[in-house]
Amino acid sequence: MIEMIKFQYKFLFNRMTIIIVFIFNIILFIGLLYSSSIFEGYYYIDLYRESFAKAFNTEAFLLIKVASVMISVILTTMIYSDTNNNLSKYIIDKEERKFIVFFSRIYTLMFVMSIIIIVYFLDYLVITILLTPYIFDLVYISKITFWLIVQVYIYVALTGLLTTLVPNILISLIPIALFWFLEINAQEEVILQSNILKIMYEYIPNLVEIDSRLTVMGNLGKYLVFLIIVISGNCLYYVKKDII
Amino acid sequence: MDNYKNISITINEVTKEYNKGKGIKAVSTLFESGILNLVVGENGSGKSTLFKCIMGLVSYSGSINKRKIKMGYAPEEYVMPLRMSVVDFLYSIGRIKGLDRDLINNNLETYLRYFDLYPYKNKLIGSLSNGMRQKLNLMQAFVHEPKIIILDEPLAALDEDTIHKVIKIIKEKAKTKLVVVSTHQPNKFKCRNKRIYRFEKGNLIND
Repeated sequence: MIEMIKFQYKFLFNRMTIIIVFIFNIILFIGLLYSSSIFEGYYYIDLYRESFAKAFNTEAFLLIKVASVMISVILTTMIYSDTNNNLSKYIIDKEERKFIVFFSRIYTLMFVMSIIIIVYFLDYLVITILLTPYIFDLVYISKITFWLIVQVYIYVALTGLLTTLVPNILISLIPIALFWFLEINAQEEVILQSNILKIMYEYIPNLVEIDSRLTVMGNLGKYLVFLIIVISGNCLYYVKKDII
Repeated sequence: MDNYKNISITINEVTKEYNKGKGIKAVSTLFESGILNLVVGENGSGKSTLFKCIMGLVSYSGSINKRKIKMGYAPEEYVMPLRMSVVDFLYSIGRIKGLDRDLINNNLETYLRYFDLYPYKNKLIGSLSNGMRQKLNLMQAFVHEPKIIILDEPLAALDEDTIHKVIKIIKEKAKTKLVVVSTHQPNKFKCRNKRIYRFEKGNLIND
């Protein structure tokens, strides 16, 4: 299993992927710099610290969330590509190995995405600490990081399932559309008025601002159950599916 | 050298049907080690499907009995990770199949030199020609020292010199291991110990 994970890691981290991840990080960093308002001048933002900090946090977390979900969908589509599927032919010599191939993909993606999200939050912390007078709450940041990791795991699982069911690159637009649908409705009042949104938010985590704090509207148990169902469904389908 | 004369794959009434009507129908046969098993037939006659059934890549009805030992398989359509280097790819396959690091490195050097790919060992697979990729496809089936080797059209895309080398190594392996090869050129495999299995429209017509 470890060797298989290393192989998936080597497959995923080719020059092109590294460039994509790097570009995402650069764009995010510039976005964070811009939303921190440091170009207004350090003393000026220090004067209205609270309101600037609130606006910065809202924009920064939105940027990190968008970048994380986008990159997770891109990497998942890559690792579930036809090329990777064809590599299974070299590895599978008994049906049980299909499970190893399947879980090595999921594990690699989850591990890589966790690292990427942590790096994104480090970008945020570096800018906050070094360039702005804003005070940050590390416990709060850690909680948001945790929920974002859970959210991205679910997008990885959903994208993986859809790509296995319909091996077409365009299918990855569905999770992106789902994310935007949840995002444009990410207001407590809007969610509570719609039964569909309530159910969706219960099983797919998305950070919503409630009482000036970002939080999720479901609980970890339900998210994990949903995650396990999606991964198990994908696994069963993959194992039964012909590799032609 | 270990002797694996008693390795066999028993195929009982194996049927695999695809949507387009192709596949194999109630195929029963036996592949044994110590001889060269050559599977011949036209394109689409079911050779590759049988190999995919043996490797567990596709679902089928019937049964295939084989020992749970390492198998090397070189598919006919070799889609490779184009952005991975030759040595990385071979090393990874060797490790996944459970071979010791030192042994892989020894084997890598041996096979890379044998197939004249040593100067290309650090090149990306995407930069290799079609023939070189076929050599790589075959090498990954040998590098982890499997006891069962299944090669689907191993002579395709190769020049005459390499064809001779490939045939030589296949014949050598067939002496001690179970080797099954599908080919359109069975006459090129000149050896006493060979058995030919002929496929026609999904049926094994003689054994």
